[in-house]
Amino acid sequence: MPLSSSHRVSRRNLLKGAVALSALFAAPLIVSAPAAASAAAEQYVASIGKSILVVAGGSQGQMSGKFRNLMARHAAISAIGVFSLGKYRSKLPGSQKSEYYSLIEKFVAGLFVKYAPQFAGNRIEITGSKARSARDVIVSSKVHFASGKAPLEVQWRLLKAGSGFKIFDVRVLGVWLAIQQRTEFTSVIKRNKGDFGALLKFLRSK
Amino acid sequence: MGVLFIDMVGMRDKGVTGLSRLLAAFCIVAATAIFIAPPSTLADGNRIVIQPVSDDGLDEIEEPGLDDPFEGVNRVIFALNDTVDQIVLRPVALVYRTVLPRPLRKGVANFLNHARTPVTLANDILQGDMKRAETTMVRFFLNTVAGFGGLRDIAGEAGWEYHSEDFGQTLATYGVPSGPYIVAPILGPSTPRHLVGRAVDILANPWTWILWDATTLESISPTLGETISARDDALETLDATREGSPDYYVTIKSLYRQNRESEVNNGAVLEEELPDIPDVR
Repeated sequence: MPLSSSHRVSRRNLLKGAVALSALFAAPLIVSAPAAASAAAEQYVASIGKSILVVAGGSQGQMSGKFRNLMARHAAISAIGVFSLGKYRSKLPGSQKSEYYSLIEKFVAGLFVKYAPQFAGNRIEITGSKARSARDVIVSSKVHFASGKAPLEVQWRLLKAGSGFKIFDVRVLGVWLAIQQRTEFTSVIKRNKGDFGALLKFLRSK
Repeated sequence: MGVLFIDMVGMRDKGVTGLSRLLAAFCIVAATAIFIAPPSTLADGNRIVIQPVSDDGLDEIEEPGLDDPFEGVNRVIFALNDTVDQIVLRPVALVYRTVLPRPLRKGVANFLNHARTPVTLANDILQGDMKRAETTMVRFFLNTVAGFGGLRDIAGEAGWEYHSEDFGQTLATYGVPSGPYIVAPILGPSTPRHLVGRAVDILANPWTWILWDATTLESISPTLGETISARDDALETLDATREGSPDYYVTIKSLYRQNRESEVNNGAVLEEELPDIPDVR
């Protein structure tokens, strides 16, 4: 069947086709970077998740110390610390940064010890991942329990750090813990008329 | 706070039974009409934009949160609810745990989830989610037949995982804004949308009508059972939350908001709505 004038391949259409084709072939290359990042992130969570379950199932006495060690190596503490200050992040004095970060580690470890018995499963299963950007990956997992309790869904938000990752946030029962922490920390500062010292005082008391 | 946590974790819905259920439903609907979302609430009803001028003038950020124009009243009701929880609910939950061994408590919780099937199924369908409606029906059939009338969650063990839906979630999927944060007496954290949802669910629940002519004790027994069972589930979690929180009211409000959003989205993570990770060097 002869081509009608509307079906003729003009130079412009040819160019459009070439661009579309090149985009089509380039697409897998573009998405391959986050995909690779996700695979590495999944492996990372499988490994760190296992370590956390071991600590959570261990003795209460040593739990806090062991968890703090894990946090020091695997948590993006400075990013969490700055994020937790929300709109007050400019109030963080340079001279008190290291104390603030250290207090956050202690605070989170204290919470972990309290909640650990309920979340101490015996196996972690990675169920998927998605890259928000090259530096921000979310890995989904399920924690299985030997007692037959229904599996617990846990999402891990990872921040790219060098060639590896650090944990920025964890979502349990639909609650992102860093977001929750930000709400609480900013409420302390707000109630004290923007005084960052009030937050430090609260954290030191824990 | 037991009821409060039930809503927070979204496992069960609360109310009263029989005539008092109906009365409660109408009161809730009437009360809801009073609470109109203020102008500061944006279209989705859940986000307010805080635009502080900071020291560096650069960190104007959007803080997700529930609008709380009635914070003063809410805090008073919250304190009363908390007192009732500490004096009545928590001790009752402790006794319940002491008296009933874990397998029996699990059976009670399973049965209460099972009894909620009609409400979940209706809302699955109203949301047009036929996959989840199918799961709800399969669970009901399996647990009724092979799970001793719902005492054992055979379906869950076979991979048909439990979920609950309510009319508040259905309204959210229709795009109805949540409205402001409200702490309701006894019921705990809520919003006008959630309260309307509760009222509709009470009316739609066959148990409301089955127990219509029952004695008071019989008619309130499902609610009592749900409340005590849920408070038992939440004993350690709420104790730890209370102990670690700098402001329990703010903590519970934030937990409620995040958990309710998660329920509306059936647990899915909405990546595009997450705040960015700060670039700290």
